[in-house]
Amino acid sequence: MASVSLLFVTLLSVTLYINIKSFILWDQSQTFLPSLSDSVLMDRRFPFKVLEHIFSFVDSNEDRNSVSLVCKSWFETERRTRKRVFVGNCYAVSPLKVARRFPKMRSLTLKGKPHFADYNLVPDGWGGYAWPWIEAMAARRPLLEEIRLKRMVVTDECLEKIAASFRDFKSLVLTSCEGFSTDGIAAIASTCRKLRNLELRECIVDDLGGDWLSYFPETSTSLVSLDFSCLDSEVKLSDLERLLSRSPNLKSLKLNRSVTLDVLESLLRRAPQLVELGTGSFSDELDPEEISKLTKALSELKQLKSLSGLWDLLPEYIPVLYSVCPRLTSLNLSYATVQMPDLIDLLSRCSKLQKLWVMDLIEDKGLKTVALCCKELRELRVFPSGADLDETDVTLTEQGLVSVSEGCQKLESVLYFCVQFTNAALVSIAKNRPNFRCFRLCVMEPFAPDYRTQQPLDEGFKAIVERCKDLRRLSVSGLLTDKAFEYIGVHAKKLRMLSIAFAGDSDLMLHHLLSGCESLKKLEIRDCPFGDTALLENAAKLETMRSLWMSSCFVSFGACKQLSQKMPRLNVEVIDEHPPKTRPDSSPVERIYIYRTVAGPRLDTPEFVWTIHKKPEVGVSRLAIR
Amino acid sequence: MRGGGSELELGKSNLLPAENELELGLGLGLSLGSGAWRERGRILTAKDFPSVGSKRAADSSSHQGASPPRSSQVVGWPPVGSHRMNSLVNHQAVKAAKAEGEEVKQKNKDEPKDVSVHGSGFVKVNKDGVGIGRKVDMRAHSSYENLAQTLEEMFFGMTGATCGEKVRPLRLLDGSSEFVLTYEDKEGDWMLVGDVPWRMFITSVKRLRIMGTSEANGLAAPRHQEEKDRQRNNLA
Repeated sequence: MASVSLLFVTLLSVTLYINIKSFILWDQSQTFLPSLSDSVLMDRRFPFKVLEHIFSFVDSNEDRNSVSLVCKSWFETERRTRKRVFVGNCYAVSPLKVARRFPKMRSLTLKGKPHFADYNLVPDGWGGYAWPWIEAMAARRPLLEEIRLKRMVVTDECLEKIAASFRDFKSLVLTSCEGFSTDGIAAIASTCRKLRNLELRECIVDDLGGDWLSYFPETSTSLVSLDFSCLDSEVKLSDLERLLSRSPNLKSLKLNRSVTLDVLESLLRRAPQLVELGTGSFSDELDPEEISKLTKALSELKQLKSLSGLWDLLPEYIPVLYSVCPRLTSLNLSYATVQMPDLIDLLSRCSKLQKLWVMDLIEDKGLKTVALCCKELRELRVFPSGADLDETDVTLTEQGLVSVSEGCQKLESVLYFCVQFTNAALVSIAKNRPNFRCFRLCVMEPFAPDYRTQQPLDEGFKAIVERCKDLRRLSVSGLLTDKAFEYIGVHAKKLRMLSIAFAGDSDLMLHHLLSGCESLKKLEIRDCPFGDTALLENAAKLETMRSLWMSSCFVSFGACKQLSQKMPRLNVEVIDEHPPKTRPDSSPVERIYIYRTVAGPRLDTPEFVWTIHKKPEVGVSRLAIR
Repeated sequence: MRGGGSELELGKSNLLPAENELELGLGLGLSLGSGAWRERGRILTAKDFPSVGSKRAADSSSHQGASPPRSSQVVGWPPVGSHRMNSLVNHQAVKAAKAEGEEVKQKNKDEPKDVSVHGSGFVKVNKDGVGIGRKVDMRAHSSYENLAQTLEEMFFGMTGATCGEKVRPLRLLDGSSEFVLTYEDKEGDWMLVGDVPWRMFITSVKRLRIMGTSEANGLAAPRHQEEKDRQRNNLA
């Protein structure tokens, strides 16, 4: 769709150019006839209404960004028509500017903390506050209908403000957010009468109890999706039942773990139109009658395409799910502690599956079944079941991924946790599936070489980047030398996001990446032995990227200062929880986070974050405003 | 949650007295050897990870002083989201608790009404020569003797047989009657009832069948592959 609209736009711009040219020529030829109407001569731009109509077909924000660069009038038309605004880094631009630029904004998506915050690498209190944005939008864009936030700090105050300010508010999706309590959710539930989506995905919520569910209006609701799977406390069954009964449009329901299995049947009976279901706990004891009732209730969900939850799924209950399997396109078993061979019974029935998330309990055997039965598979994620590396005793090896790459022709996105790997396996995988767009391999043992040859995994990843020409996202692991990154720099031309841990030998690694990967937008590195030289040499590259994160690397304070002074539109943040008393230029920093911005240094940094000042004589300023 | 390498930075505080020396050295424009970095920056290297079950474990003694962090002690590794990590940790705890509980229960095999089996306890029972099968609740029984008694009542008690048959409840199990009790397990194999511990039996039994002793000849307690095939053919 994006390429079609782009083509359309290109054709249009050619047409426009010709039109404008003819206008101009016409105008020139008419200079001797002053009787012609001025308004016709003055309006050399293509009519706004026509442009607006054409732009309404341009959906993707990337295309819209390109469109807005063509000329001033296109910029103006585009900005007046953009409805869905996406800001990948909330500190890259000020909320006020965004509010002013897009008067027709109906949906705002924001991302805050760096991705490595998911793994506790960003200390608490770093930032990513939603408040300034919500305040700005509340004042200037009261017609906003949707807010989607990822990795941001959202307070109850924010939620109350949303509820109070946007009268047509329809959709709140919070992913990996924190800072609010169930009181805030209650405010949204009770006040937003047109609410369609309320989704809390993996948020950290101050859970004050399940009362919030009773705050939805008593009359029929317009709810389409409700996800409270990350909450801990119990909600009252009667509240939930009544809510379902009066939400005829509900298509997606994701319960939390404390919703027990014995009540599931009663809930499903009230929502047979569900397309997505996230169950609660699946391990409670049921008697045969209850089981048969549940089986029947599940089989009544004729439109169900996605199933998740399934906490602690017991093997005895797998047959209960048989009726929904043939229609499923998405199955999330990553919290189901079921082992082989019980998993086979389930997976062999899911012939339409496109997305599968499992734990490594699936083992190579289970993945072989997937390769045989799930021919439509596009995305596979295999998570570790042991919190500790030493506890991993399942037989999941590289062979599992090789089987799936052989059997599933449409596979394009993989996240695979495995104890160790081989180059040969990576080469096979690359040969089998040149259509990978996202390849994230986590060899859980840091610095692990190819366990058969004891060689680094350089050749394996070389095969991946060479063959998978469309690769957008890559995570590497295992023993890797600078050579691996030379290959990545040379071949991975479409790569946008790269994650690296415990790898490389020297500065060359970073240099290869920054000078080679043309499309690189996000780079995150931890525990790699390099820093200054490559960083300074490729400083200009950093302005073409969204952000660079480096922690536990060899970056010196002096280099940070130099970089910041060299590049005025980069914020160079030094994040140091244990800074030395004096800070000579040579001292290493714990973490740096560098991102491009037109908003200047931010004013909400905590005490452990320093934004390097642009003026050398000022040195480092810690602008912290509470 | 205070993340971000607090464990790794412990080494730094020990170096404060030496700081001045380092500074002077660096001030003279000497290039930074990796040694200096290692002390200050405390970057984890391959030496810090004695790999699970490999020769490199022997080399771990070569690096400085402090015991190497296990890969699980490194902050943010493996890179699994905190929600999932919490779930995993819970799961491990539950597994450990369950394992303990199992051990305790194994010791008290004959506990009455030992209802710890999840899921459906009803299995079908068919007797050779009888068209209609019955269902019996495995969970309502605590031992083989118990089960045999129920089955005998179901299939033999009503025929008006002699009192003698009722009085000796273990006949089905000890091979002295003309019938034996067999079961189909999870893997589809037919076996003699009574070989495995009761608890294991009730989790793996799928169906029960009371068959004539002559037919059941192939079902010896130590199973051999040929015998399994033979009885499969018999039952086919």
